Amino acid sequence: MTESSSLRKKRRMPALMFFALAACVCLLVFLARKVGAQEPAARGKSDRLTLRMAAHVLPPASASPADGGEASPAAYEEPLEYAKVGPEGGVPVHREGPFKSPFAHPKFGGPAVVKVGMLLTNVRNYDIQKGTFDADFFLTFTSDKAMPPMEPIFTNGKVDHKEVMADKPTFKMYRFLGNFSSPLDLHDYPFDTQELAIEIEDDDNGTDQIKLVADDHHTNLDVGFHVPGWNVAYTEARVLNHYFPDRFEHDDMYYSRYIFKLGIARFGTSAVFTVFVPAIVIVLISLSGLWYPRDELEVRANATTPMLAAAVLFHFALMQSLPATAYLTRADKLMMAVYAILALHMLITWLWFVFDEKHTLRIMRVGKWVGAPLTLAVLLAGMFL
Amino acid sequence: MTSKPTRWSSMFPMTLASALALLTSCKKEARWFDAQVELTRVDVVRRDDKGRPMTKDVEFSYFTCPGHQLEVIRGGTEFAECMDRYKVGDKVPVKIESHWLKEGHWDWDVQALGVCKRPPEEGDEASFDTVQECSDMTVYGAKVGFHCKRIPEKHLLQKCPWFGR
Repeated sequence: MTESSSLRKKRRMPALMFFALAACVCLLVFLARKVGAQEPAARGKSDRLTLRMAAHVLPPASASPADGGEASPAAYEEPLEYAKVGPEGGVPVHREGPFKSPFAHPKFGGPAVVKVGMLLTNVRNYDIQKGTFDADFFLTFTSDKAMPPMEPIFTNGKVDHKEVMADKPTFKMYRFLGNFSSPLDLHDYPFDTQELAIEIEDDDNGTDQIKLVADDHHTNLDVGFHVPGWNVAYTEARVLNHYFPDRFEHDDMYYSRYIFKLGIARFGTSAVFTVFVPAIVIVLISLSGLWYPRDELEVRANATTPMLAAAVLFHFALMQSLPATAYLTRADKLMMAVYAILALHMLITWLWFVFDEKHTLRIMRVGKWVGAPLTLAVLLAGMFL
Repeated sequence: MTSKPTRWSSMFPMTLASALALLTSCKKEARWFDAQVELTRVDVVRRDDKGRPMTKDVEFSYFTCPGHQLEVIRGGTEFAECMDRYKVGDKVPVKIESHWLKEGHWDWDVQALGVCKRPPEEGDEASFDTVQECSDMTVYGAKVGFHCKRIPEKHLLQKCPWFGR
């Protein structure tokens, strides 16, 4: 009897455990949903969390954005909702404001002047081949009146991480980590300066609702900011009013775009030692061959011909680290000069085989005293033109 | 016709090697400068158990230099106590040491602020400077933004040479 009851108990245990497990899962899901509902982005410092929660929870003080009150998503009237469709159908338009676009907001009561601040804390993985880089930065919007709901988008990159640190009607603060790309300018390589741009535009608020202004007092680089291998040359921020080519009828809205640029210059010393010194050494070794007489023809030839191979390999290695360009970089021009100099030195040697042997001494003398200054002139031209 | 290689051909490698050796062995002596700054912020960063300041941050601007040159220095207990005699807005003299770094460029340290000595310590990552000259960007007469040069230009270096890196 005891044995059979213990067997029944054993058989009942899995069923009990199953119910207990199901209850635990339900409880966990319930708790997770509750926590998720209260803390949509529960990360970071406690003060940030408080600020963020306050932005989510506090009720709007005033419904109208035009009078400087709150423009919470609930109070904000979507301009597309009250745009009117004409008798022939098609794109709904606004008839009362300066813009007919369905995204215009004539009821907003004039644009909010939004000062854009930027603190760039880090730039990593700058790829000179693709012009891409990873950036970590804080972005602030401070306005004189309530802003419409803002959703900043990046027109030259994508964001991997976004943290809303403050979302008040007249002050918004975000932290972004993302990957961006900028066009390259390699005309002056290896003394080039590259521009790393971050372009920001609001998703659908035109210039009738927000007018972005670059805030020079609150645009900075973080303490200890540096880009490995590069020198920070300048920072720049500007705003342009962007007009899209017509995407639909009455697409007449302008959009404010904020562009932050970080100028980085290659270290001059590094450029000289990695590009100019090897090229000059190649030229000097080849030039030394001009002082060898005809008896030492083999030595003289060895001073020039292997240098041509060295120059080609060196140039190839230089170009491998850069993308293809439609123009010559300064390094290309230098290497063109090196090729011309090597050709000149070979030509001077070949003159011995073109003219009679009795001119040997004269060719050598002319080769030295004409070849050396010409070499210097061509090299200088390659370096500075 | 036979002749030997001239002196020139053998001198090239030697000249080159000597020039490179000379270039790399150059030793650059530290330079000292005096300047005037205006205090813009003084903050106690850390205090001991008795509430006395242990570290203090002092922000100042080089108001005699062109552009917007700002520096923040952090100092220890003695510096913190000594700095009590100054307040924000005071104009005080500074003693600057400009020295050559092994990384291959010049850098400077503020060694004294007014009468307060401030020997910089290794590992101080809180002190920093912002050396820049900003100007407005205009397009068709309208201001659209600003541009701040971060590499000191000649006129700045003539007036405040320690900013040269």
